Amino acid sequence: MPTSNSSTEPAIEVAGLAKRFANGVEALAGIDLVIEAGSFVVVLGPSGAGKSTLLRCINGLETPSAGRTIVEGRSVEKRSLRSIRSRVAMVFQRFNLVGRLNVMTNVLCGRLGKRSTLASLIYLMRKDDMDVARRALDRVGLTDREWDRADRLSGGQQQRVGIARALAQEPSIMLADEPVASLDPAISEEILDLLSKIQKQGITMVVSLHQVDYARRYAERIIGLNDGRVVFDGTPEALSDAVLQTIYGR
Amino acid sequence: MVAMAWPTASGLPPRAMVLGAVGICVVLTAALSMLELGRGGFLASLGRLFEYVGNIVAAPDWEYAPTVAWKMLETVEMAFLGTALAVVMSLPLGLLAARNSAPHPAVSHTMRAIMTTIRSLPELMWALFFVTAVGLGPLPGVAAIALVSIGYLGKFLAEAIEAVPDAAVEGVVVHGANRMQVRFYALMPQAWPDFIAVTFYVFEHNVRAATVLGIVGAGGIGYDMTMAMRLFRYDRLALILLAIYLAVTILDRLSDRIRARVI
Amino acid sequence: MSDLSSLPRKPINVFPLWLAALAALFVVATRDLEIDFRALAWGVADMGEFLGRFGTPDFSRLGRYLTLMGETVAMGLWGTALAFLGAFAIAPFAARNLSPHPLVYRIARELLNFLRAMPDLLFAMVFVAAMGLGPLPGVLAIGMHVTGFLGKVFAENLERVDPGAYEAVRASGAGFLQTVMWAGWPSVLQETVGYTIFILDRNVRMAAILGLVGAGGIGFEIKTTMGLFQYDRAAALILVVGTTILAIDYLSVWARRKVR
Repeated sequence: MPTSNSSTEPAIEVAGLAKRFANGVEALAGIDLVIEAGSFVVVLGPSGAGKSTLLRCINGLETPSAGRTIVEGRSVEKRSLRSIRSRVAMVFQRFNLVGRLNVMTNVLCGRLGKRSTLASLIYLMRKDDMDVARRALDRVGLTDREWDRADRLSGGQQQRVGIARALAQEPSIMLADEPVASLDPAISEEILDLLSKIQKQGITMVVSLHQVDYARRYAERIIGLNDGRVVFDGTPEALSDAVLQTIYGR
Repeated sequence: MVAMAWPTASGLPPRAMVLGAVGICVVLTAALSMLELGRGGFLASLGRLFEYVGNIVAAPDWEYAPTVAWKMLETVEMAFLGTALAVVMSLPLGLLAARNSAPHPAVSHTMRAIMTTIRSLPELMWALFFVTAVGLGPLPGVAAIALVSIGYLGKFLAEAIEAVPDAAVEGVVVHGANRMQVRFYALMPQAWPDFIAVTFYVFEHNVRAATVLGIVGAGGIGYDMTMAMRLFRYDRLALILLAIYLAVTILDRLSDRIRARVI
Repeated sequence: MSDLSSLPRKPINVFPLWLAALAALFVVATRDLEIDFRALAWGVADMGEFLGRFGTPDFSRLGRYLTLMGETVAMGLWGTALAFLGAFAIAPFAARNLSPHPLVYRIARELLNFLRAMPDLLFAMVFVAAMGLGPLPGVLAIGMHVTGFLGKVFAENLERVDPGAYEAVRASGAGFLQTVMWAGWPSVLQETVGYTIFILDRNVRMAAILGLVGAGGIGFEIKTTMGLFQYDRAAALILVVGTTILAIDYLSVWARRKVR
């Protein structure tokens, strides 16, 4: 079970975050945000709005050009990456599993951050780490496929392995970067239901989506991004058509 | 002691991996017993090696540089000539060696067999052989390089020609092309780009080969290198090795650039 | 009547220019080296006679020759083993999307290039001069040169792995070595094994050649017998080498097919 931090400290704070890529593209143009612990936040916007970049700045996969990110009171910078990543887990659009390895090994990747041992380099892992992995697989409903090669699973199953890998980290925050963009609608709902269940069990959930109806159904709070700026921040009820225009209009 | 295991159903590493690892260890140990290692033992030999390399790196003879540069240029010229000759000669031979362009299957089989035989001996041996025939100098070196390259280029061209899809050939035959025209208008144009690419790789290999042919007297910087080693002129040896490294690296890069442009 | 001047200009055909340049280089090189190609024609008779001396191979010392061939194969095996270890260690640093620092990447790449540039024979000559005759210099020479080749191939394979896999493992908090072992090598296992088996074949061939400069194995025996004009013995040796290499060729093709 994830450990929760103190109820007053926000999970994520972002101040003046800006990111310009080497090819001149300005993905983020100044973002200020505070995300409370335990909430389900959806970052909504068209492609190119900066949703991915925002999430990736939170766990350090991108370095911002300006501004800072603070996760559970710690600033995200090169030195703190390892400890930040032990608290923040990510789920990817294309699942990002290692196809040749079996499901259990893929989930065990989530434990690597906590175990920087020589033994881990030859895939020798602690039995209690495997128990954590098994519990994670149980939470996503895939214990019967533990020893199958990851690339033999369907898209939805692979994403559940990805989620199990994230859970195995025992994180307090989960970032999901367009987790259902590669899946068909029925499976997408299963995945989002799963993420919602996980959030209700106490993990802060930040999901980036471009599908408006999913955002309305699952989010407690929606942050609308357009062209690297926050253009909306409120509840799904407040997401009127006029607001959608500002998010999706150009 | 913390309980540990491998992430497999049995908790042990996968069987294929274990068998493979054990097999390799067995083979290597057997091989080790066949290698009688130098006098004084392995570590003493390594010690001598470091000492030797130290001597080389210590004080290069920079005044020798122009001579070395010139010799290196000659070596590259040898490689170039050998490659060029091989390209010219492997075009007709490759056509003969390909099953879909040879006048008769017996011809293609014989050509392939000849090419395989040529390839199986290293350039150095061929160079030795040519030196006996035509004497010392760069000619036997060029001949040796050309011969081995024909073996490779010919085989490659033949395979490229055989890989040309039947559809391409049919398209031309349907318009009344005879065998020669089929070769030039359907087969060669398809096989050509890959052949050019391989020629560059062959050239890169030949430059390296040319640097050593000198040790049997077939021209190039190899002769100077042997002499420098025999006379313990480490300062010259340093320059020779440096020249070889620079020439090979620069030519490799140049060759890659030109190949990227031409393809 | 269409206006012909408005048609786009026909692109200049570069091919004849290249051909002319190459032909010019050819002539220049021939002059510079003072080569007279006719000497080859005159030498044909000599070549024929020389070949004739190899016509009657003498297998009387076959046992010794087979032992020497075994030593040569052993050299090839150990050279490959060393090269594999070297390449395994260096390749992750020479893969742009894995390397911990751009400077480390550059240095690793240059090191591999250096090892690849120097032919094995060159290393062998220097090592024999330093360490004396025997198979050890040969093993080291092969190990060093082939580390360069394998290392470059492995690094390029590692670079072609889906970057998402690396990112996911890194995002879990894994360090450099863990990312390499868990997302890198498993993704390129097939190519890695395939290339190693392929290069083993080439290395045994090389081991035979290295003997010519004294680095052990059957090559050295060939050199001595030829030096003593014992061509019938040399012929037998060459046949032993040729047959063994053919056999290893077939084995290597079979092994690579099994790995797929």
